[in-house]
Amino acid sequence: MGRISTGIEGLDKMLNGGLIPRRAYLVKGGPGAGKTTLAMHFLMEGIKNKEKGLYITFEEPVSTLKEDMSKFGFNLDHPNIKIVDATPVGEKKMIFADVLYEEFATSFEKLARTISEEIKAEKYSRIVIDPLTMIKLTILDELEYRRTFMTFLKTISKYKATILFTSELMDSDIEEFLVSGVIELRTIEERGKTLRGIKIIKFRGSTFDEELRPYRITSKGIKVYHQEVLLHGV
Amino acid sequence: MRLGIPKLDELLGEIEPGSTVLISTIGELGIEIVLAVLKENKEKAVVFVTPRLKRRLKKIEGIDGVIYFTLGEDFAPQELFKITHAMREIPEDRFVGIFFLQPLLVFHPPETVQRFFSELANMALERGFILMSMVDKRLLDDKTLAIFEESATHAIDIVEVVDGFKITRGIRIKKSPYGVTGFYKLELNKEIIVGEPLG
Repeated sequence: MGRISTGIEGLDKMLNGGLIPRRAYLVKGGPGAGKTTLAMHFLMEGIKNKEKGLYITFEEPVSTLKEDMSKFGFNLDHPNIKIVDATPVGEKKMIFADVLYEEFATSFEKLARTISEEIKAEKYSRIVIDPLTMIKLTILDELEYRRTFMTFLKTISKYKATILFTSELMDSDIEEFLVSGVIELRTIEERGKTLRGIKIIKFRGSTFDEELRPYRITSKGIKVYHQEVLLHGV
Repeated sequence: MRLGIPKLDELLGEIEPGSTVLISTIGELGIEIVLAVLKENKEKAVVFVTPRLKRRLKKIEGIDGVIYFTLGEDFAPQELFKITHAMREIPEDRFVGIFFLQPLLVFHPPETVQRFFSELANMALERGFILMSMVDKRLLDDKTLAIFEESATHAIDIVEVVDGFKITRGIRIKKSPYGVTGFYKLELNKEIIVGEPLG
């Protein structure tokens, strides 16, 4: 089974070579854990391989995102990257042709349909939806959310794209159940110092490293110490 | 490798690459053993120290080739993984000294420090370098000390008996591939002297 790199060497080692392509994965963690940075590594790795990437942001405005990511050396102005700003703003604006941001952020169905059309037209091989939390919070009916999410995954699976969702909700049960893999980013306060640990919770179709491994957010992005143990509260 | 202390070398025998030598002591008693080893192996010694010990070692002649990693400067006490990571970068066939278990034992639960020590011992075995460490046994209970010693290939035990104003110090080999010994008199002045058997 082929693998694609996440763009983070240590994480690829934990995944026994990388992600299995054309599947959906969830990256979850609290604020500041590095979910967006991890997602950008994934997207930029595709760009290195001349793939096309689609990034839909529901939280961070594009200008802030570009500024923040440039500090890690990620150029989001690359022609092979399309960034869709679906963040709530004070005025009506189009994010895709004929789709208003209000509709987009509150209708998963519309999001799914629009993304499907985009993939069909542009052949994106890597897609990031950051974060999924916003959509989940807008759909109050759990059953409705499950149905829509499942339909979305089913639709997307027809195309040759690997999808990364991010989520701030630590108990994101239905997504965890439906996606092929879950990567959790944990932050632990230890006497005034923030320690960071990465753990693969699930990776369907592959063996993986089950240990919580330390990682750091450096000037070049995320560095995973795949051989080390966090040694916190052992 | 030899420690450079004749009687102790005789008791311990040759220390093979991949070995872990643990000195369980009281405070810093026996640090002279460490200094002797550093002098013998200064060209290939890498030591993990506290800032205070680094300052002290820097003043000692004859160990100027030693490479230092300093707690609180090169890594925080919380980030034990950075130490194990740094150890992986050290070339093989080195002498590596870990001389800050005491502050770590104040900072972390003993089980955490023990697991850390065990990781280092495994790394020494894999990479073929010799690891030496000192631990103040007053900070450990018997069970935890036993687990520390289990991770080591060699255990040197230093004791101090105070009888009125008379202080007697002893040293023994508690664990080694060549067997164990009884206590020998230990004199710590400018040089370390392992004398006659005690008891």
